Formats: sequence, structure tokens, C-alpha cells
Amino acid sequence: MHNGNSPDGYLAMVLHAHLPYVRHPEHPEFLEEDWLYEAMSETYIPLLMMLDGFERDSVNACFTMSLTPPLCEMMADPMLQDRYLAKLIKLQELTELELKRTHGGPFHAAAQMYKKHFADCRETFEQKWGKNLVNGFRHYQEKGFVEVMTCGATHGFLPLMVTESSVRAQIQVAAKNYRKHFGRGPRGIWLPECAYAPGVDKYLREAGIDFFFIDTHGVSFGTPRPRYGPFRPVFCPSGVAAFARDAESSRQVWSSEEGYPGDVDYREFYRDLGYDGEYPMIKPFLHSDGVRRNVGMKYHRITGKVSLSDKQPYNPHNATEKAASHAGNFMFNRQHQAKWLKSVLGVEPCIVAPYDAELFGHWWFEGPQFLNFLMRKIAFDQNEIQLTTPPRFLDKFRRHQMIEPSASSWGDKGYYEVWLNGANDWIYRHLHAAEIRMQDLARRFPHPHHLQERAMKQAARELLLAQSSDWAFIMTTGTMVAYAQKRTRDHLHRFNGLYLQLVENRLEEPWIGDLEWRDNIFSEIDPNVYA
Amino acid sequence: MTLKPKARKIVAPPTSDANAAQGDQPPKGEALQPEAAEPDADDSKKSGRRKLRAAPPSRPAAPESTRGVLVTLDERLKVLEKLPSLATPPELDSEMVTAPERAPRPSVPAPLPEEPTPSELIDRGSPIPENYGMDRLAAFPRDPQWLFVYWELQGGAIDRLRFHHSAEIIDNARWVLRVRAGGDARATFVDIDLRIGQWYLHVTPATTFVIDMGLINQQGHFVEVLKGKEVSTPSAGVSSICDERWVILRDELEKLLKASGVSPELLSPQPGSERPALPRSELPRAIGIFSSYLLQQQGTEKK
Repeated sequence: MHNGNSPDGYLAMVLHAHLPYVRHPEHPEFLEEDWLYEAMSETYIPLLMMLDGFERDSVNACFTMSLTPPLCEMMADPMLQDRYLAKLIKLQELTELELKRTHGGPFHAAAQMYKKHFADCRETFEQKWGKNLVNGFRHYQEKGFVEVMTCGATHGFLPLMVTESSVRAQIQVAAKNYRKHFGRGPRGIWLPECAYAPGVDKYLREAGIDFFFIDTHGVSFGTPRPRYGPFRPVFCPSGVAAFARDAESSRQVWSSEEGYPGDVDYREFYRDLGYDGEYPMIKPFLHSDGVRRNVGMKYHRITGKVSLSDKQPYNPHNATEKAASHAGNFMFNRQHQAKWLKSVLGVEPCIVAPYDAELFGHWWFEGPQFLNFLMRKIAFDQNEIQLTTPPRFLDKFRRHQMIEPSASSWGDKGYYEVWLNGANDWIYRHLHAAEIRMQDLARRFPHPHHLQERAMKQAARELLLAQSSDWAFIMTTGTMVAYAQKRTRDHLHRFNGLYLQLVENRLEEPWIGDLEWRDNIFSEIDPNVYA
Repeated sequence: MTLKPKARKIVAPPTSDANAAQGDQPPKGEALQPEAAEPDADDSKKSGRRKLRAAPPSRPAAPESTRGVLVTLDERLKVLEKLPSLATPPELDSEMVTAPERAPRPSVPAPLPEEPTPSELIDRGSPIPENYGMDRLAAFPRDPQWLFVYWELQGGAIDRLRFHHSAEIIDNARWVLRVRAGGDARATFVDIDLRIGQWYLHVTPATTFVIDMGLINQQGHFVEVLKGKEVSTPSAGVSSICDERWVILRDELEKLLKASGVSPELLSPQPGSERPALPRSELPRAIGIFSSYLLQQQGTEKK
């Protein structure tokens, strides 16, 4: 056991929660909206329940989390809230049926777990936070358990933008939206895709942002050479602090071979009742087209390297035990890492462990339990390492080296290739033309009349939505490519239409109104940010 | 480092016709509301997901009464009580088939009620212009060794070129990208195909380039048509520049990084020897809220 008052090092757990804006009022149900509903049930609500436990039990735990503007806007949207509630009610119906069906069999324990899980989700969603999960995160931020960051307005890939006004708009629109949802400005930001290029920091400074995260080599390859490598924050030339990702703690969770989520006792993602169930039974719980899809109830565990048909029944109790064990292992490794680093560096390291939030719960079902165990163990069982957030760390340690971090991202190979390659490079000439046109609009119409202002606001929304890095990412991964192409082209088409109608002075109010109804993000947007 | 598995559903094959820009069509209100009648935009992803399903076991026919949408929970419970558990091979219980609706029980399993398959229709979105009436050249780094360059020549540059040069010269010209690095007056010329509109250039890390586009005339001189801005490639290794107040040897830093799990590929050494520390006047300066911290705390924390 560590002796002494100061720890060997600090651990900053960081979750990046993001989904592209997938609200589709033009359809009564839409597959991509399910991304949101699944993430709410599997990730965001379990995280809120974990935070609730921290508050109830007075756990000295804290972590940092981004909630991107599109995610906040969707969480606060009444139509999506109602659709999610309807989804939850149907899932609760399904759990009742499943309890009966699985009675006496090896799947019954999982069915019981789902019954409780969806009931808890509904209680948290509907009763506790009035159907708006942002309220929950705001509450726990005010209580000091979580530091909520913002992100680019629509997760646009900043280093691949051509105009300064577009980079500035991504940051300023995000900061304004954050104020709307959280009642104060953001202290920190998760740069979209962790993508940095020298100079980006000055736009963060303009928005009053104090810190951001960057990949390991963003700091390690910075200039001048960083005295503490990626294990202490650095100040950029603008004065904004950059915290670098720790590769080792990332690998322990992310790695497909060594990572915890691949354990044999954890829930298998690819066996879902939506595909396994008897069709007549499951059909009422599918979309109205009747096509089999995931419904969110999975009864098998990973088992091992076996075919999907040979997966064994999932045992929630065993999985929970394994999550506790993995949390202990992760903490043990961080303790030793901190001790070693302190001996080498001569100062307490700040180990930054960032992950996609949706890994915890959606992909790794037991992930929220892992986080819960981990943070409670760190708080109660030891004192070698201490949980921290960037504002806390910067408040405690105020002198840091100043460097210019290197261009980098957290994508494959560490730079921009995931978002710039043969599968998606065609989008940039169009996005950049729209950037230039948007800047032109803001300068042409400094004092627009009412309808012009509506058109300019909508043009800004369409440009922002087209810039979402998710579309380029999806084109690279090869999944759902048509949807990504459609979203890119549709938003650009709408933007170009608005631009031409504005400059040719032939605005069509019904069409503008239709677009406002479809793409209703950022009601507070100010197009002058592009001037 | 791994590619984060953000994309959720599995699996439509990659498409190759992404660059399918269509003609500019200034919209009219009535023509721009097609979505309500469009097929689902998600069609492309539906087919792949099924590949991951276990092969469905051959099952006997479900009774008529279980087909279609059952309206109430009670009705569903009645049916589900009699459906087999996933744990056991499904075997139809004769009690499940109610007399009035029962068809003669087949001697061999009948097919399941027909399940709809995902639509084959793919909607790749609305038309966008092929060009924007501009003359422009843009270059971006993809990584330390590659730049992406694209251009558009629709803003009158070609017409101006024709004013000064004969059609024969222009039509037979060698179109090139001129690549100049780090203020070096020497240039490298890369032949391009003008029609393609974009190019990837293999370059050196941590270098600033200026890329221009033009043609080589019959005298062998470069005629500039599009002027580019500066673009820098990222660093691919630990910097050789040290801050005298925060000294760490390159070897030590690399050892630190290796021990912390950084991929060796990201630690490729940069050529050249160590450089002396920059004088303080050349170091970046702190501004903003943390600058006062620097002044106040300097020397108070043991380093």
C-alpha cells in the first residue's frame, strides 16, 4: 500500500460521446435513429445511473466526458424523446414475453436482467430527467462528478477545412449550444476525431476554452521536445492546454486481441433476438417493414473463437464478476505505470485514458459496470493513483511546458488518412466550395431581412451538417456508405439551393420552411459567425 | 493504434462510384421535396447484416394464429408461452395449433412465414454541382508523407491563358504541379492529368510546401495557371529542437514512449543531428489565462 499523502500519479478517464444528427421527421421510423435509442439504453442512461450511484454513495470519483452538440440537440428534441419512450415501452412488453418464454431455461437470467434494465432505463429517462438526458449530465457536472466538454458543432474535421470562418464557426456554434444546454460556457473540448493542426488552438482560445485532448504523438512529436512526453499537459502557443492520450491504457481496452471487451464471459454483440427469435414472435417489435434487425436483447456470451451458432448462453452474474476483475486489473496496471513514470519523470504523471463513450455499453455491454467498479475501487481501495479532470489537474499543477503540438488524429495510422482517401476525397471540393459560399453570404448580407435571415441560418445548418466527419468515416469503413453519401449530398444540395436563392433574390418560403422542419438543429445559430 | 469501431451496423460492400457528381440544378421549391416519396436511405446496409446471423435451423411452420401483428400483450403471451425456448431445439406442440384455423399438418416442415428482405434500391442523395465556377487549387496533408491536391479551372483562367497563348500550345502542353519546399527556390514538377482534378503527392515530413499548377511551354518554362497556398506536412518523429528549460534527450523520450506503448512505427527517427536549443526569444510565448500561472509559479515547482 502506498504511503504518503500525494499519489504516484493521476488518472483522467475521458469518454467521447457522439452521434451524428440522425433525426428524420420525414419518416415515422428510421433505422439510423435507432443508433441514438440503442446508445441511450446501453450507454448514456447506464452512465447516468452510475453517476447517480456516485452521488448517493458520496464516491470521490470524477471523469471527463464530451457530449457533442448534435447529441445534446437530439437528447433535447421532443420528437426523438417521444419516439425513444415508445421504443422503451415496446421493449418492456418484449421483456415480459421473454420472461415467460425463457422460464426454466438457460436464458432466463438474461431475460430477468433485461426486464430490470429497461425498467431502470425508463425510470431514469422519464421520471428522473424528464425525458431530457442533458438535464442529468448537467446536474452531475454541477455536483462535480463529471466535467462535460463540447466538441465541434457537428464533429467537422477541422484540419481539412479551407476557410478560417468555418473552423471558427464549428467552435463558436458549439460553445453557444453548450451554453444553451449547460448554463455556462465549455471549459474543454474534444476535437472532432482528436484531430489537431497547428493553429487550431487559437480558435479554442477565442471561445474561452481552456483545454483539449490530443493523440499521444501530437505532443510527443511537438516542438520543442516535450520534457515529460505525453504524461503531463502542455500549453499551446495560444495558452490552451493539451492533454495527450496514453497509449498503454488505451490498448488495454481497445485492442481486439488483448482488450477486455473480448472476454469469453461478456455479451456477444452479434447474436440478437431480432435475428434469433421466431419470426412471428419478433415481428411486432421490428420496424413496420418487418425486416429483421437488432432489438437490443442478446442472450449469448462471446464464448471464444467459435461460430455464432456455437455461442453459449450469457450469464449476467459471471459477466459482472469479470467486469469487476478487469477493473481491478486496469487499476493495478495504472498504479504500476504511475509509479514507474514518477520515478522516471520526477513528477506525478497525468495518465489520460480516452475512449468512445459508446464502447461502454453499446459495444461492450458490461463497460459501464467496468467504469463503475474502476472508479469506486480507485476512490476507496487505494491511494497510489487519483482520479482527476483537466480543470482539477491544471488548478493543482500550474506550470507546464509550452510547445506547438504536431498535426495528428486518433484515427488509424495517427493522421488524417481515415478522413482523406480514395473513398471520400471527392467530398472536399464540394464542402470547401460551400465554406467559401457561406462566408460570401455572411459578408453580402450583414443586415438580412427576416426571410433572408432564415435562409442564411438554414444554409449554415446545412453546411454544418454536411461537414460531419462521420460521413467521411463511414465511407472509409465501407458500412452504410449510401447513407453517408446521401447525407453529404442532400445537405450540400440544400445549401447550394439556399445560396442561389439568396444571391439571385428568389427565396421560396415554403421550401425554406420545409428545410427548417427537416434539419432543425441549432435553433440559436447566428450566421454572422461566418463573416 | 486501432481504427475505432464507431460504425455500428455491419456491412455493405464498399462502393466505388462515390465521385458521381451531377449537374448543377438550382432548386425550385416544388422539386426539392422528394424525401417523403423516397425509399429508405438505409437500404444499402441491410443486406450485409444478415451475413452474420447463424444459419437458421429448419423449423416447422408457425401456426396461422401467430402470424402477423398480434395486437395485445395478452394475446402475445398466450402464443409465446407455447413457443420453444432458445435453449432447446424447436418442436411444434400440437396444442399450439388451434382447431378452427389449422391447416392439415404437413409431413415435412413447411417454410417459415415469408420474411421481407431489404430493398435493393439505393438512394445516394440529391444532385450536387460538378464545379462551382471557380479557379482554385487546394492542398492538404494526409499524413507526413502524402499531400492531397485538387483543382478547379472554371473561373476564367483557361480563357485568360488562351488570350496569351495559342490553342496549339495549350492543347499540347505538359500540365504539371510545381512543388516547392521550405522556401527552397528549386522546384519539382509532377506531371498530372488535368481532367482528373486531383492528385496525391509523395513528399517529406515536417516540411512546408507551396504547390502551384501550370503548364510547361515549348521553351521548357513553367507558366503558372493556379497559385496555391502554403501547406505543411506533420512531423513523423520526435523533434530535434530542445527547450533549455525543459531538457530531455531524444533517446530518453523515445524510451519513455516505447515503454508506454507507442507504436515503433511512430518513432521513426528524423534525419539530422541534434540542434541547439532555441534562444528564449524564439520560443512560443504564453498568452491568455495561463500566462500568469507561468509567471507566478516559475521556479516554485521542483523539476
